[in-house]
Amino acid sequence: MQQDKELDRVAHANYLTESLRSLPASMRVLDASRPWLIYWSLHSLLTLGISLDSASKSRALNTLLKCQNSTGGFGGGPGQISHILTTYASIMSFVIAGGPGSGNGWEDIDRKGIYNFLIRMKQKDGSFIVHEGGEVDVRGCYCALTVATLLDILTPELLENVDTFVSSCQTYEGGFAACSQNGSQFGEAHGGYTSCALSALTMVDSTRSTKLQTRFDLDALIRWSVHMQGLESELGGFRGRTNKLVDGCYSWWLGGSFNLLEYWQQGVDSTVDDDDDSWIDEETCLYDREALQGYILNAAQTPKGGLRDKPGKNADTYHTAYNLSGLSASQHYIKYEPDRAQEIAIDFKENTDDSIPELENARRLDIRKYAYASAMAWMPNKAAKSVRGGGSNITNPTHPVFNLTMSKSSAALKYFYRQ
Amino acid sequence: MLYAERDDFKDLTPIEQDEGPSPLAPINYSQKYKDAMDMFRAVVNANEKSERALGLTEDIIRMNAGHYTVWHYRTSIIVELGLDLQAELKLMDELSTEYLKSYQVWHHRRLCVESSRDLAVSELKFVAELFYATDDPKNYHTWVYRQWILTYFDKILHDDDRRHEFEFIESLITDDIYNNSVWSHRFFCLFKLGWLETTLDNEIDYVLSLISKAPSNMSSWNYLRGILKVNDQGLNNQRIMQFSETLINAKSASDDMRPPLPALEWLADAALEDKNPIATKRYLELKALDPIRKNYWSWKSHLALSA
Repeated sequence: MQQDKELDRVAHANYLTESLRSLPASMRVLDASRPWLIYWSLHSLLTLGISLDSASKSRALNTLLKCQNSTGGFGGGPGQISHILTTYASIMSFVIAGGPGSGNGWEDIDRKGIYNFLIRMKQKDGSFIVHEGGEVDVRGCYCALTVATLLDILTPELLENVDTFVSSCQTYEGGFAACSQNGSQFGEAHGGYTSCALSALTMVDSTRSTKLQTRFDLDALIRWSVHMQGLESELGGFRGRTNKLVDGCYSWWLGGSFNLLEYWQQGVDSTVDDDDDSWIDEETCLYDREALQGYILNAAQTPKGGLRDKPGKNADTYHTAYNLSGLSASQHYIKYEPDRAQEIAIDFKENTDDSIPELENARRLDIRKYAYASAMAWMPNKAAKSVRGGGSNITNPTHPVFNLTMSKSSAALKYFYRQ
Repeated sequence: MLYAERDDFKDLTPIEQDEGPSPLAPINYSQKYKDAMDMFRAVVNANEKSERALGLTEDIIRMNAGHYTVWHYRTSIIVELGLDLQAELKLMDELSTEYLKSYQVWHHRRLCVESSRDLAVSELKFVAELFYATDDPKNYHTWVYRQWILTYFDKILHDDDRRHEFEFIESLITDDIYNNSVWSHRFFCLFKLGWLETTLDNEIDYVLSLISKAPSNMSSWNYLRGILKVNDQGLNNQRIMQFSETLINAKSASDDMRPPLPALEWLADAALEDKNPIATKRYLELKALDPIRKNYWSWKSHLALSA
C-alpha cells in the first residue's frame, strides 16, 4: 500500500490566496456567485488553520458590502438583485472576516432588510424562491434558515411549513431530491440536496422546546447515506447519487451529514431503555472515516494546491472548501449535547431587539432561545477524534449545520443574540 | 463591435461596475464581457425594456448563463413588450443544449411554456432527444424539468403520451440498467403521477427480471424497497425472499464470486423487521463482505440482537 499524502497546507494556502488576489477571465461564468468565491476561499483557509490578515478581511467586507441591496439581501455581485444563496455566502463570509465594533462588518449587515427579503421569497408551501421570479429548491430553505439562525431573525412566519416542505422532498431511496410539488419529488435522491434538507430540518427542530417531532424516514436516510460511500477500489470517497462516480465535494455533503444523522438517531435511542441500541460506542461512526480521509488526502489533493472532484480533474475553490470541510467533519466528530443545550437555554438572557422592533412577540422569544441554545450545543467530541496521518493533518472543527469553523460560529451567535 | 462603440446604443452611457477600490477575488473580465455588462447596467438604470435590450441580455447569457439578474431582466422585457414566447422557446432549445447545467436556462424555459398547453408533448420530445444529443441521460436539471412538465400538463396528456413515456423509460433502462435517474423516473410516473398501468406483483416481476441481469445494481434494489413501501408492505415478501436466497446460493456455490450484497441486505433487513434472530448472523456476514460499511453493519447487528 502506498503511503498517504500529507495535507499540503502550504500549497493549498498559496492556491487560495492567489484565487483571492485575482481570477482569470474565464471565471466570468461565476460572476453571479462572487460571495461564494469569497466564502469558499476564506472558509478553506480557516479550516486549514490559516488566519486572514486584516487587509484581506477589510477587502472581503468592502467587496461584500457592495453586493448588499437597499431592498434587503445580497446579490451575486455589485448591482445584482438579491439571491438567497449569495445572501448565505455573504453572511458566512461576514462571520469569518468580520467582527463586532464599528468598521468590522457585523454592524453593517442590514438584518431587517434581509428578514424582509427572506419573507418576500417565502412561499405558502414552506419553500423559498431563491430570488424574485426565481426557482424553488431545498438549497433555498437551507440558506434562508442558516442566515436567519445566525443573525437572530427567526420568526414563526419564516419557519412556518418549512419542515413540511423539506420532508416532502425525501425520495423512496431515502435521500432528498431538489424539490417537490404536492408530494411528488422532482429529481432523484442527491447528496447536496440531502445535506441542505437534513440541515434545514435540524434548524427547524432546533427552534422547538420538544425536539425531534418532524416526520421523515430516518432509517431509509441512514441506509442510503452509508451506501453512498464508495468501495476501497473507489478509495472510500462519497458519490452523490446511486451508481454515480465518487466526488470529493460529497465528503462534506454526505460525510458531514453523519453528525446530524446521529442527532436524529439519538432521539430514537433515548426513547428506548436498552443501552445496546445506542450508536455502537463513542469512538465509531456509521461511515468509514479513515477511508474518507484517505480519499481526500490521496485522491482529492492536487500537487499544485487546491482540492478536486477526482484525479484527472482540476482543483477549484468549491471542491477545495467541501473536501476540507469533509475532512474536518470526519476528523472531529462534532456531537450535539442535549444537557448543554438545556443549560444554555436556562441561562439565555432575554432581551428585546430594538433594531427590528416589529419582529418581537412571545413566540419569537422561545424560538430565539432554543435556536441559540441548540446551535451552541454542538461540541467536538475529543475522545472520538481520528486524524489519519497524525497531528500534522489536523484541521479546525466545523459546525455541522452552518459549515463555519466552531470558534467563528460561536462568536457570531453570541454577538447577534447579545449573549 | 463593442456596445460602447455601436451607433444603435450611443444614446446610453455605459456604467462601470462599482466594486470598490481593492475588491477581493476580482475577476479579470475580458473586454467583451465588461463592455456588455457596462451597457447592461446603463439599460437597467434607464429601466429600458426594448428589443435592443433583449439582444444585449442574450449576448451576456451566452457568456455567463448563470447570470440570474440578466435572466430576470430578460423576462421582464418579454412580459412588458408582450413578445412571442415561441421565438423565445426556440432560442431556449439552443441554450438548453449548450448550458445544460444552468438552473436559469431551465427555469426560464418553464416560464416560456407555462401558458401554452399545446406545448406539453413537444416539450417531452425535446427533452427526450436532449438526453441523447448531449449524451447525458443523468442530467439532474433535465429530469427535474421533465417531471415538472409531466406534473404541470398531467391533466391534458393522453393515454398514448403515457404509453410513450413508459417506452422511453424502457429504452433508457435498456441502454444503461444502472442509470438511477431512469429508475427514479419510473417510480415518479407509476407512484407519484399515479399512472398505474401495472399491479404490484407485475412490477416486482419486472424488477426481479432486471436484477437477474445485474444482481448488485443498487438502483433496482432501492426501487424494489420503494415500491413495497409505497404499497405499505414490509420487506418480507415471499417472492423477493426466495429470489434473494436463490441468488445468494447460486453465487456462494462458486469459489471466487461473492453473493450479491443487496440480496443479503434484503434478507437481513427483512429478518430485523420481523424480529427474527437470524438477522444478526446476516449482518455479520455483510460486515465481513463489505468492510467499508463495517460500522453500519455492526450497528445493525446490535439492533438485531436487542430486537
